[in-house]
Amino acid sequence: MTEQRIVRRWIAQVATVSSFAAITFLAVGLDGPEAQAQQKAKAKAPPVIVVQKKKAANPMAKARPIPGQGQKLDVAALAKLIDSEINRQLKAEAIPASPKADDAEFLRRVYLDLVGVVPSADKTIAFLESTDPKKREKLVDELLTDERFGKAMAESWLLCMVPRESTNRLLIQAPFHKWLAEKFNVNERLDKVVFDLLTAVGSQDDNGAITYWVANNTVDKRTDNITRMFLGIQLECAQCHNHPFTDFKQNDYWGVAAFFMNVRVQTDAKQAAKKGGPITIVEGNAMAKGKKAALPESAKIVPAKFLAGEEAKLEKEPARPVFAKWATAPSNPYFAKAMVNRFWYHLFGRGLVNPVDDMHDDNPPTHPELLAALTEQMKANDFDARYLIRAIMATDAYQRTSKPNEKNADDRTWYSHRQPRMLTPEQLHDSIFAVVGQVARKAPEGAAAKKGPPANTRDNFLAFFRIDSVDPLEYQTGIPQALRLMNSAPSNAANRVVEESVTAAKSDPAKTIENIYVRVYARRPSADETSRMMQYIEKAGAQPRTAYTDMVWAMLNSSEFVLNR
Amino acid sequence: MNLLPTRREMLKLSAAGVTGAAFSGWLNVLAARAAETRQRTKSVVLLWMDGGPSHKDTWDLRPGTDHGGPYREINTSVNGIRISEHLPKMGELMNHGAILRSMSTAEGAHARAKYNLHTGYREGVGGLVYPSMGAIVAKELGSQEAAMPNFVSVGNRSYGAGFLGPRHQPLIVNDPARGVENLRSTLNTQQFDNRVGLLDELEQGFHRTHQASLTQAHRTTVNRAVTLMRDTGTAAFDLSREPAASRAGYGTSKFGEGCLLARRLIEAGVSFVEVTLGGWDTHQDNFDRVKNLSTQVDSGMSQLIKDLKDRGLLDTTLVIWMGEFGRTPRINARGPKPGRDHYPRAWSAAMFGGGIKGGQVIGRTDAEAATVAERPISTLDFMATVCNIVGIDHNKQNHAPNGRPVRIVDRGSNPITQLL
Repeated sequence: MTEQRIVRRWIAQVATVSSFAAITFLAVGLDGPEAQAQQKAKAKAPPVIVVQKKKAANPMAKARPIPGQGQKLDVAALAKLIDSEINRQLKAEAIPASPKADDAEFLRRVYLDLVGVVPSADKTIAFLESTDPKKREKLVDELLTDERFGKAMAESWLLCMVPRESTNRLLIQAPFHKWLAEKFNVNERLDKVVFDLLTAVGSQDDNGAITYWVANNTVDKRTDNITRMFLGIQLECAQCHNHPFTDFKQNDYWGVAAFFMNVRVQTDAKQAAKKGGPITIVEGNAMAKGKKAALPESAKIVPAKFLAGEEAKLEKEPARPVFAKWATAPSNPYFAKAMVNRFWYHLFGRGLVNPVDDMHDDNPPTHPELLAALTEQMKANDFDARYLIRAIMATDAYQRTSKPNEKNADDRTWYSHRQPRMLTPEQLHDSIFAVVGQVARKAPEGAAAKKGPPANTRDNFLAFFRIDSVDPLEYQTGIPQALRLMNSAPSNAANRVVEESVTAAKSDPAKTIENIYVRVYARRPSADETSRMMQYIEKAGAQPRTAYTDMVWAMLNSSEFVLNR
Repeated sequence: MNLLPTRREMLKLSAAGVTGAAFSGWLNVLAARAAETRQRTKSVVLLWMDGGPSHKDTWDLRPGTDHGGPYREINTSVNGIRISEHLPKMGELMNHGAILRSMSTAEGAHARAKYNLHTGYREGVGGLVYPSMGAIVAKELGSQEAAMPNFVSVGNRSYGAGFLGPRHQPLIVNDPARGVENLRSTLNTQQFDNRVGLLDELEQGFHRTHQASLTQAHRTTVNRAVTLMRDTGTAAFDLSREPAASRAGYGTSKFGEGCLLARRLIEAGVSFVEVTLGGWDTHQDNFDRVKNLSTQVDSGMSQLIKDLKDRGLLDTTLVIWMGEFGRTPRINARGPKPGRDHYPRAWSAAMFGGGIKGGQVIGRTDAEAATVAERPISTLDFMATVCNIVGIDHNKQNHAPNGRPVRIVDRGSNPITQLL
């Protein structure tokens, strides 16, 4: 009975893939509706859960030493280590891997993952025709120094750091985006970037990073976001009660929160939007002087304490640098691991731990030794993001085709083939615009944004396609989005694509078809595809251009285009 | 026996090109209507008062008291129930509805409160995005084969399907006068059909080699969008087809047009329509603004209820009036035209039709309308009550993508029983 109640309570509270699996394991042998519900859930669960459950029921039964421990590995050695860990697990699961992706598939994937847009026709042709045996790693290097890399990376981080809440509607985010993009583009050490972010003071004009503290304008939001984003922990459950799955107590939560109590926004975004003037963040002893930060009802006033660690000795110094120093130190047990998992997630659509920011003992990684090794190497290599990205992109695991074989189609866990995912709204927008050769309009920020982004702007498109989703591997697009893609500009603005493709082909239909394929799909058509499209064009008779625009439209609306595969 | 084909059959026939022009337009709607009245499951119109309407100036007045404000109370069609003087037409319909005067909820900030009152869950808890009431009703009661969407949101992005997925996302109509955006292709039918055929070929080819569930989901969604474009039922979205005489009663406001659109969509078989009226966040100038807003509500909502009644649809259509919270019983001191601030502790909602016992008041607040004196209604109680009225088992569990079972309404609800 007691067990049943515990099970029930756990389910009612936070549950994650594997913690739920752990419950399922516990519930075996129980009778009654509870157990039946578990059975039912099990029956409906996607295959990934079954796999996870095995892990949870048998956590690290045969823990091995961390590969590469004590050594500093270079990019090639780390790539080799990753593959050896991934392949070991594939072998254990008896799942055969798919072969490497061809050049076109690899090219488009790397472009989307690094710079957030599909490659141009010229780049595609040059890459396909290059005979350089090192062209894949050279491509990665080239894109890592493309300024679009920092911009795309910063945009995806901002989405996780600026809560989409009504209070942030008028917030100007551009300085924050610029600040972070520059950090990625000069490849600043990640521990340094995060330290600067966590200790940011000053005005938004001078220091874009303070935007983070304005966007997360209460102590609890700050605590939640910092622990999620930089420690990989969902601590928020401990805000109101002791955490159901971890050892974190309510006092742990408020011990961390205590570091952020004395941070004040001097002009909030709303006022700034109305009256002008800079938004400024200061850190001082504001709490002492009556002007209390707005605390939720569950707040506890406890001394500042490091997570699962000691009380901080805070004298008169500001509290955040003390926290930031602890958080980003190589000895911190969370930070490097959280960063590794976040980049892995960025490149694969799923983390070695899922959800990406929910690491705890009952939610083990799919590849524990690999995660541990990557974490060590991240520290040994000075928190160098490009190092990690280069190594991952050089692996077979990353370079496999997304085409499954007969025996691995159901695998979503072991990296036997590439898991396709939906383009993000940013990638979809920028890629369509790149293909049709238009320049997107940008909506104004701040007070001017009061009525929402005007039609025909990038921001309007993003807002329309943005659907809060927990998993990028899930399909989340609805009918309104499909209608917009089909029936509005720019998917119907194919004239330029067609005109240029026809001209370059000197009106030869087969060559025109090839040009269109290269431009839209970033690959050459197969012989079958060319002959099928030839039929379609011939049927159109005197109006081949109309048929070509039909082709572009169909391609832009197809799975092949809307997926990062 | 009724010889008119059902809506479903009609769709099949028109898809097959059998019915042709003769059955297009209003005739189709007429047939659909006749079919629907026979075998209806229930549907819901949620009139969402965005910003948090002042309960003390609408459904639960304290005239003549210190912070009662200037409005007078009027009698309604039900003896003993008195409401604001600015809701006279609603007063005449009071015998069809119930006022819930003891709403008492936990969230006092707009975004979190809206999330809570739309989904029954608190934002951010459990790492899931929970489905809104509209998505739940669409999933549980809507037809899964119909071309028409089961959940339409008018004038607002609203809260969506959450973990229930794209199948139950609302179709959003920003401006009722313009209908569904991007529903028409700019091309002629022949060219559009050619394109769709070509697209389908591309999809088949891709799916043969990739088999990914995402490609299947994308195909399904595109096909549903195309089906919707070709469906004559979408005429329901076109307000210009409504005779001027029957439009007049709704008033000229966007909200009035939204109510008219809601009626047309309910007639066409949509399960859940949400219509938003914004502007209730009356920290300042409460009394001029609430008067104006009440007048819009009074026209649009009363005409909607009357029309549903005339068409025999009121018993199967629950009309809910609510916002995310009430407003402070005390009038604040913000300038020459003061207002009232956010107040979730005690506030009012209203329900009409849907087969409930009308002419009732549920719960009671104290002399200042500041605390609940009788029968507090929590968010969970409210959600479970709506489920009971429309025939959904609120204890049913849906499954989140991670396999976790999630109740339609979380444990601990105490639904109102005297409405049924």
